[in-house]
Amino acid sequence: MSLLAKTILPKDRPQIITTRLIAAPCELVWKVLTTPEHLQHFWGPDGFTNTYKQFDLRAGGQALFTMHGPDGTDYPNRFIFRTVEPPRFLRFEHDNGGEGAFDHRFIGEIELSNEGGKTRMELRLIEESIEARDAIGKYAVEGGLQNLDRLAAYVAPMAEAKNLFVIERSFSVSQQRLFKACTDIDDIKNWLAPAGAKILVISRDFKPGGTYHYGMEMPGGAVMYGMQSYKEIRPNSRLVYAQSFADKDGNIAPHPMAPTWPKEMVTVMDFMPEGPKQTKLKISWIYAGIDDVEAATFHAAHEGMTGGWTGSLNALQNYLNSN
Amino acid sequence: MSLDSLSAKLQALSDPTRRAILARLRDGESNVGELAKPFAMSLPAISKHLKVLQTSGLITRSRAAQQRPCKLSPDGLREVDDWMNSYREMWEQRLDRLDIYLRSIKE
Repeated sequence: MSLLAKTILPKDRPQIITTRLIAAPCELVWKVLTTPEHLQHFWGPDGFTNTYKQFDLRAGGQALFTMHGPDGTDYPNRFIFRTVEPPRFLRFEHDNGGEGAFDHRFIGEIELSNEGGKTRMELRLIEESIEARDAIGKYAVEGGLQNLDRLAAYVAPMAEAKNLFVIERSFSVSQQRLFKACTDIDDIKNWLAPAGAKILVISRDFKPGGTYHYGMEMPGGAVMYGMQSYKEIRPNSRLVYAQSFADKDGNIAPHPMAPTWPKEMVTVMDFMPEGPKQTKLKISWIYAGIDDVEAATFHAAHEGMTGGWTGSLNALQNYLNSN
Repeated sequence: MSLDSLSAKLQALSDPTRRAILARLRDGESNVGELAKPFAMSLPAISKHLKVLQTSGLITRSRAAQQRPCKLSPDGLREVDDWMNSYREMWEQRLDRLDIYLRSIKE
């Protein structure tokens, strides 16, 4: 599921083209796409992490890295760079470097262009033939969409600090227990909903790339629906999902009370051990969309949530009341 | 674009110049000329910002005086303040319930 990334499969060329607008300048997108310390976190489909052995960014240079799949499978990868034109264009040959059973050979191209201060990214996988493209299609299509969305969420707080809002709390339980309390539906039902409200699980596929469609039944009987799309599940340490309001059929819908609120927000939950029976939960909300009004709404709320506005508005109220 | 009242206020608050104007109005009512002084902006540009603030309900402007002095609207600001707090509060309350739940069960 992707709200902003799109795939193009040209009829006459053996290419898989994934494109998305990213709320960051080209220079920054180029930087994270060409720096292993950044790439390791977001490169690949939902749930993947990477270990880089080599990254020699020049024509003829190689990048050697292993992609770690969510099921524990390792995929060795090699890029041989052919064209390097910062911050706009990258062309490389891709194979497995002679290691591993899986060898998806293609020519990759990344093109970045400026659209009003944002970046239009196009990722092109050029296969040997249209037949080869169509055979490999489904996983590469889905993986490409997920990859661009992950990049967008990664780079958004770097481009604008107000795209990130964090809240933390420490609990007197182990990391395992806290992770389970936040991910096991039987646990979640015991605390997430306010008193009198009830969580309705409509469908839930708890794995990277899977979705969770739920409802919150309020005491009066009204139901508010929501949708989560899992991006990363690292048992006991990390959970990442995209969160949206939805209707009962699972279509993404605007916030019922504030229609300019972001249609999608990325939530990251980090479970950080502080002792055998003490774990900190860090919840990060990231706005990774491209709509200026949504961004303004999130940024304004951000200032409110971090006390910037609340503090000054309280002072203001006091002043007004005293006059 | 038609926006509901809260969204219009949030959008008005998203601009740093408009926030600076609101901060200035904390000291009391003021007119366009005075409000424009700290900014490297033309009077029409400032007037445009004031119009956004007024339409959203964050400030009111007197019709009586020729200078049409601006002042803050406490009701408008309260609506924003309540809403901003509600999102954080919702999560703080959730985490309170999680804490109570975790204390109530054995590991």
